[in-house]
Amino acid sequence: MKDYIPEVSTARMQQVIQAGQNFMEKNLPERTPLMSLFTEQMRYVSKFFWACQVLVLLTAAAAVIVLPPGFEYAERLISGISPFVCFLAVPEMTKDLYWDMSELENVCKNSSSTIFLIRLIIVGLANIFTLTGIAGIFAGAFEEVFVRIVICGMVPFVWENAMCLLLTKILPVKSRTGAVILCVIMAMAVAAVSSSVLPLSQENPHMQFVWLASAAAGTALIAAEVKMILRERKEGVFLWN
Amino acid sequence: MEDRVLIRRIKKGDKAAFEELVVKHYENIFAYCFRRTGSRQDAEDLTQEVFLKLVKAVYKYQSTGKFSNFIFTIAVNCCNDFLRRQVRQNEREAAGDASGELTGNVMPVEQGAEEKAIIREDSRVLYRRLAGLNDTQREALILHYFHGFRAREIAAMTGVPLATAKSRIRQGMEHLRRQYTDEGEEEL
Repeated sequence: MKDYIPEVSTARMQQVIQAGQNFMEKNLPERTPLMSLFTEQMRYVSKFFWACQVLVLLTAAAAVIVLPPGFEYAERLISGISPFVCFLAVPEMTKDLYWDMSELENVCKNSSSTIFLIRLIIVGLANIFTLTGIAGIFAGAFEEVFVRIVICGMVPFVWENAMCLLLTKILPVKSRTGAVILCVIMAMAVAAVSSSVLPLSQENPHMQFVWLASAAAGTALIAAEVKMILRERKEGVFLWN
Repeated sequence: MEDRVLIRRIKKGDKAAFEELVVKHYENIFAYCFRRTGSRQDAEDLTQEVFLKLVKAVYKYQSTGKFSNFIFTIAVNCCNDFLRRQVRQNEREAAGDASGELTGNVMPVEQGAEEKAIIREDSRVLYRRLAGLNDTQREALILHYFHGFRAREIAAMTGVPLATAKSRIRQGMEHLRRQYTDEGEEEL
């Protein structure tokens, strides 16, 4: 179809350009530097979370003092401890949903997904730092291979986080206390299961496969859950509970 | 320069990029607004509104498809809001009018004497026919036939299912054809 359209007025077009440029001048895009975002979010991480990290490290140090050098169950021990390193991680990352802060965060400068990601990095790094510290202490004190100790600690750690994310999404958890209780129960279950499974040091090739496959599966589950959460937050859709 | 490059530059505060973007798309958006409103003045005002909304929304824009779809979505919404306001205004005026006659038109044709002279007869007839369609069909037809958007893109812009967009185009076209053949005029 062809039709008649009046000629564009150059003066009017210039007026549009001017109006748009004036708006741009008054509303310069402000991006929060990544470092400020981290320090800002660090302030909101609960003191209990940091206390928990210190407590677990002290527990590991106490275990080293109490147990004899060359303790043969070091791998089982770290498997039992590691879920307690991170049981506060999920309630910490999702606390905005329990405290009805998500609506507020959604209208703020930084998107809800960015804030979730920053919290995930802070909490995750703190947990990994603690776990590596414990693994280092155990490997040194009990004369174990460091990598093996790390894997035995990492698998329950990954599964604790994966299951907690999944359960807090599926179950009708309405408060942070509820989420913490759920994660503690989950940590006990994961610790019980992982410390009862044959550790890596047993010269059993099948067990090595089981541990590595379990680590891969747990990591894949976490990645999928985080991706889904970020997508929901980006779209502004919270299907939490 | 490609639209996505211009958008990236605008996001960084480059005013020249905004100028380039306006120059590139102004005519097309103005044409759409003119086709929807039938008035040069309204079309110019709406075009300005579209670009101002664009510059406000551009910081949140993420390149996921064609930029033209994004800017036309804004234009569609601006025109729909404008026409809705106009219908309400007409209704209010009609309610206050003793004769009960509508004093406005959903899609008025240019009234200025000079512009009347230059509007081609066939365009005027076409606009009158288009004005006879319902607003959703007119919107779909303009986007499809004048601006070359596919039904899928129109569905996304207007927020309706694909089947609805297709049926609006089809029914609008049938309606137009019927009007032309009924009056013995040449088909579109």
